Amino acid sequence: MISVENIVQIENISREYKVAKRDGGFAKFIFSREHEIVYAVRNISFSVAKGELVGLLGPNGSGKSTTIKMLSGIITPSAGKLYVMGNDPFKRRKHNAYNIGVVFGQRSQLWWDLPIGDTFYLLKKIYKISDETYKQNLNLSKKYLDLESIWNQPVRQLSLGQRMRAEIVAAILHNPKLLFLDEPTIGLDIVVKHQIREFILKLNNDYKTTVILTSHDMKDIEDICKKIILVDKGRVAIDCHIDELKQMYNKTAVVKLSLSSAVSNIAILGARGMSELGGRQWSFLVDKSVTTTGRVVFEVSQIAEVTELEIIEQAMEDILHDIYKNGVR
Amino acid sequence: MLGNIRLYGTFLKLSLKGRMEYKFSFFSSILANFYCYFITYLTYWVITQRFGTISGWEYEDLVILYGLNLFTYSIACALFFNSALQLEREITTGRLDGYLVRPMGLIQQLLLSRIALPAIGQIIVSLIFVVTAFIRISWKITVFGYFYFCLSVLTGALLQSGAMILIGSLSFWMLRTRDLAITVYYDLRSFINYPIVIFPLIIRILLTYVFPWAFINYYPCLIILSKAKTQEEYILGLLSPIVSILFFLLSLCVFHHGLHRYSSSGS
Repeated sequence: MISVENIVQIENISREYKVAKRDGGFAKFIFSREHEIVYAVRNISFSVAKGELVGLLGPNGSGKSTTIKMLSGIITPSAGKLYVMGNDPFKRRKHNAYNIGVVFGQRSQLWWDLPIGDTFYLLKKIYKISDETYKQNLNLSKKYLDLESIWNQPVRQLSLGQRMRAEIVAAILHNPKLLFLDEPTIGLDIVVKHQIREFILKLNNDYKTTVILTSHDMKDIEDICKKIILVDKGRVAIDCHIDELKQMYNKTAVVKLSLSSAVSNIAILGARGMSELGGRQWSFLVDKSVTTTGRVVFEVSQIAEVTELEIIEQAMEDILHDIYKNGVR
Repeated sequence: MLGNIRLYGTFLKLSLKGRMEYKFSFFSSILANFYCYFITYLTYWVITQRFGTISGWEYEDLVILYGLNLFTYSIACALFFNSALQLEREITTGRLDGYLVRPMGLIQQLLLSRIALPAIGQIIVSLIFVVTAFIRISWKITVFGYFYFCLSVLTGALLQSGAMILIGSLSFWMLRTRDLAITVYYDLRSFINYPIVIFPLIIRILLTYVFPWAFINYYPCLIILSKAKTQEEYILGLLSPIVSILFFLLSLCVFHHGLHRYSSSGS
């Protein structure tokens, strides 16, 4: 069934590669015709609704980029069906291209020897963008991504951060309904990262642009994405709201407390305490399967007056590290 | 169609603007092209001065023969894309993915994105020599001959583009095709700089039925210069535009077949 609300619908797709067997020495490699089949993506299904902000996560080589390539119509799945706005992106590649915008963080789409404005103008012609839309999107981009300062330099003279801002503009000029960002913030400084995040959220807010983002920067994911799809070894391991994921995997938290007077010993069930400054500062590693952070704070406040309080939830990064290493529970 | 021409204009303008970032390189490469092919044309003059004719082909005939090869090659390169050597790079670097997310045909984009402007140099030098040659032997060229020359420039350019696209497309299967392109296309094609009758039969068969480069210039010239004697020569001469078009279409087929197979190098 093709659902109209789902901008992306993937049903049991696989993508395999034939790889020549490279064991067994030189002569065998030269003359051998033996191949083995490697799955980049194996029987995955998920859907994305209009306007959703999705983080596509997974360790390197887990099939994220392959999935994005299939959704952009660059490659076709070896089995299964996928639809982007109801169309097969590979069969209707050109039609699909109007609906999507793609940023590959590690490859440039800009004309190397020319200023960015020339590439934008060319894209205006290719996508047949109306003057009004073009102007509007350029103004929005200039405001959020600070393009004025780099407008007249050829792309080859731009820094990575400057170029990446331009790459994103190049991908959204034609108002795509669906935006793929494959590691858009790789190697960028925090200011540029922040600008890019703000801009993506603005697009989502103003145009209801659906965004599918891959990144190894968890701050990107936490700031932008509402939904997480985690692929591992070519399969969908997790598909849920980001808060659900945190709840599911958030086993521990750290509670830091400053007390008005020194306390030498505090024992709380399910929380391992450590004191500093002679007992005036305590931090507890809270095991959430036994107790809660609130309970810990309450118990401590019964013993002494709490002056400062900090609760550090387990970071996304730790959660994912745990899942990548130990698999899904 | 009109939209495509406008788009082509935009690409051309931006290509020129991009090249102008390196003005010295741009003009010196045009000059180098001019100079290099000027010498080649002169060689024909030297050879015919020293040895008379090459199995009945005089200086002007040889200039027109060579001119047709160079002209069609320059057009294929200047207006279009030298895909024989470049498609390999586009594939192995993954740049092809960038083209595939645009709402345009891939061939169209490849053609437009690599406009080789320095070929202007060889077009100018070819014009000088070919036009002079035609003027000098105008008494023996028929109206149909002139017409056939113009037709052959167009279809020959298609054949040359077809050869580039075909060899380039093999990159979809073999990833690296540069050496093959140089051997089969550039080296083998250098035989057609001379009338192929002077070569052994095996070479003539190779250039007619296996790698049909002789249809670029030799067979059309048999008609243009009224050199066709046998029935076979007439037929091959008159068939050359059709052969060129078919070869071009074949190359597009292979290209699309390869594209379908394209598995995209890792990211």
